[in-house]
Amino acid sequence: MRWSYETLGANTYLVYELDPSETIDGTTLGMLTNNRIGGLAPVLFTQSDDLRYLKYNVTAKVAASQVFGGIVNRNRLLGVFASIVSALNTAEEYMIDASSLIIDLNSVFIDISTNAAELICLPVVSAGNPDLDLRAFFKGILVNTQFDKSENGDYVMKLISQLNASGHFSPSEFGKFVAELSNEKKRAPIPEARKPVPVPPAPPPSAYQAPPPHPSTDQAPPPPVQPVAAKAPVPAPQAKAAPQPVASPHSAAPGADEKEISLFYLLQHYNAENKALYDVQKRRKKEQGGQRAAKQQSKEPKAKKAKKSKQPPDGAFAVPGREISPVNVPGTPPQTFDAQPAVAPQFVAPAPQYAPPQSAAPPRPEAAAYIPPAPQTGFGDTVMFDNETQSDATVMLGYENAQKENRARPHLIRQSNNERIAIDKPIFRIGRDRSFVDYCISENNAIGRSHANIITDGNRYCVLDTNSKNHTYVNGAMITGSTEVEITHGTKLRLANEEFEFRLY
Amino acid sequence: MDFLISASTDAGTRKATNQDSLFVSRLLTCRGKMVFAVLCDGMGGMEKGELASATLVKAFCTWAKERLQTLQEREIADADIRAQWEDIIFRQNEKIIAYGVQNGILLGTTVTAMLLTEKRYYILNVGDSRAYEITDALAQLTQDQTVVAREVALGNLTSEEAEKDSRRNVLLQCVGIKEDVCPEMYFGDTKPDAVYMLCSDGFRHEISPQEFVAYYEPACMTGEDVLRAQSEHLIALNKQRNEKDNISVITVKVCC
Repeated sequence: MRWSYETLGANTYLVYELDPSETIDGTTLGMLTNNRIGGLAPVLFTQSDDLRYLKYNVTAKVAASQVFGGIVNRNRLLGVFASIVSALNTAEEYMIDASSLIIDLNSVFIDISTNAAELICLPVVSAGNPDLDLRAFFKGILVNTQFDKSENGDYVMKLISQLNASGHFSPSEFGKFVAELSNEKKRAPIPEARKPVPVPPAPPPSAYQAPPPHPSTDQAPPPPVQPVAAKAPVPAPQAKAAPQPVASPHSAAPGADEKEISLFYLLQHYNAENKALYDVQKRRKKEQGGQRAAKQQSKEPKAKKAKKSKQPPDGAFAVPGREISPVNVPGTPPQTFDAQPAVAPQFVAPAPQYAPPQSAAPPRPEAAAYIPPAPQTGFGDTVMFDNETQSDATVMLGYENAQKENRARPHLIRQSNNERIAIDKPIFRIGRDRSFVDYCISENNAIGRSHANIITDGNRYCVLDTNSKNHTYVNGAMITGSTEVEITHGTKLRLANEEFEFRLY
Repeated sequence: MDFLISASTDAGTRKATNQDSLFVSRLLTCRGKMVFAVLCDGMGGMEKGELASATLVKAFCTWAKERLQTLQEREIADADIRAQWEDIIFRQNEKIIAYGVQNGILLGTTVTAMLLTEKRYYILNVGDSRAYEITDALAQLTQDQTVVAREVALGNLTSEEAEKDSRRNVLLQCVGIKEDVCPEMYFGDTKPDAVYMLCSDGFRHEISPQEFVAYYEPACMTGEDVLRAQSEHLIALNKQRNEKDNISVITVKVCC
């Protein structure tokens, strides 16, 4: 395979070098480069002389192999599965053939804070997997991953059973199943949050001031589909309101008189009203499968302003000349916001984020391990020797028994505060996202949410940068993303601007 | 003044490998002639004692090649030698420990290093290899860093008892095992017409001081071939007397 990684400036790319015999599928490539398709990694095509490359931007995304290489909890698993299914659906909408998608653990990239997955689409004629075996892919993950033991693991078995069911594997069926599973937990506490509370057809302007937990009451509605949408003064739990339909009064609930706006119809008859309707309908469809996505978002502290993305909302084409702005329908009665019950129960308190920094365990008592015992008077203990050494052989006090014990205590010393960080797992993660990493650096924003992993293989150690924006440096030299670089005792590591030393003892 | 040098080593009768490493060389510098010698006795049995001793010898050789010249620019100060050699010890110590930890083995080495100029000698010692000065008597220039040597120094044992003590082979210091290693330095004035000897413990267990003086009588050491012949005789004598360890010696004759 002619895959490699490249880090240029702040970005990390997965690069595919095309073989001269391969032919690019122009339509698919055009689709990919002209649109920002959610769920597929953005791609650039470059050519120099006869060498052609496809470069996929995977900055700040972690390969699935790294994510599933550690312990995974329910949310992450269901989130990633749902996101992959959604990406497949989106690809279909864009008429991209599923066989040009590469779906394996090394080519699915995940944003670990949202669990959004991006797939690699290889727009090459007759390339790709003739039989993209999704069933085997999902099952492989379920069977080979370690799951969080503190949770109820039923969902894993249910997923496996679902995958084992006979018949043709349908991604959307599977997607629905995954969605149901993730809604299961929430069904009990907040049933009514799923559906928009029906609004009376023509509420008077004052109506929307009534419900107390309320987004700001100015005219501009929140941007169309922003998962972490918020206006400046939005109090924390209000993200719930955002995905709710910004309904024009006539069509808060699907009514018989509402026309079905499909994507093509919208293209042909683009106006603000149709766009609004389209958004509503799309949201409604998403609602039914996407409640869990909303829950994910509520975990983020909402106090911060959402970064308004310049990207058009999912599914819409950027129309030149048209600003991508929230729908502002002048002349219509002020929009109503559906009254929401207090969403506190759904809101996962951000308390864990403000917990004391996840520092290493209290200083290890075995720091004194290598101080030899006091010299013995008299003849001391009986000591064991191997065949080679005899009773006259020189030995070191305290090390008479040629211990074969493993003296390796791999750890990092963080230079800024001299903290000792024990590397106690085969894949040890470092980053800013407390829920994902093993050592969290919360106070330094230059560190990525998932920044780098230390990987232990027998008695060898290496560092892997997980496509971070501010990079990882080994003894001063920057390393390419997603590429293992060996480290030894005394190696100086730098994550963005945070210095560490790797030591074996 | 001139220097005659010789180095000999033997795996001995019992050991499969020779874990001693040695180096000796004459140097001509702007400050005159000098000799640099280093001897390392590796330990760890099957576990690569020779790797430890060779690593350390190589580090000292590199030092001699690269840094000894610049030291000549002014009078060699004791403190400079001490600083530079201690640095070598600490670095190599860390390196060898890391190797051992990474590979799950225990390996280490002693070291005795000597820089002999026309005026002065500078000696570094870790462990139980030794440096001697032979005139009409045998003078031991270094102190062993062993349990029994300390007991003798503390007055708990006599030297004779120390020879027979069951702990006589237990070291207090070694390069490559423990993080904190304490090399000791010795300085003195070069005696004209003396023979200086560095040796591993295997060379000296079975030979008496009188025999050393007899074999290496300075007046009789007229050439390097004589030095070498004497060393080989002593090695054979050791083996005859059932010495089991590796046997190594470096000799330097100071000729005026």
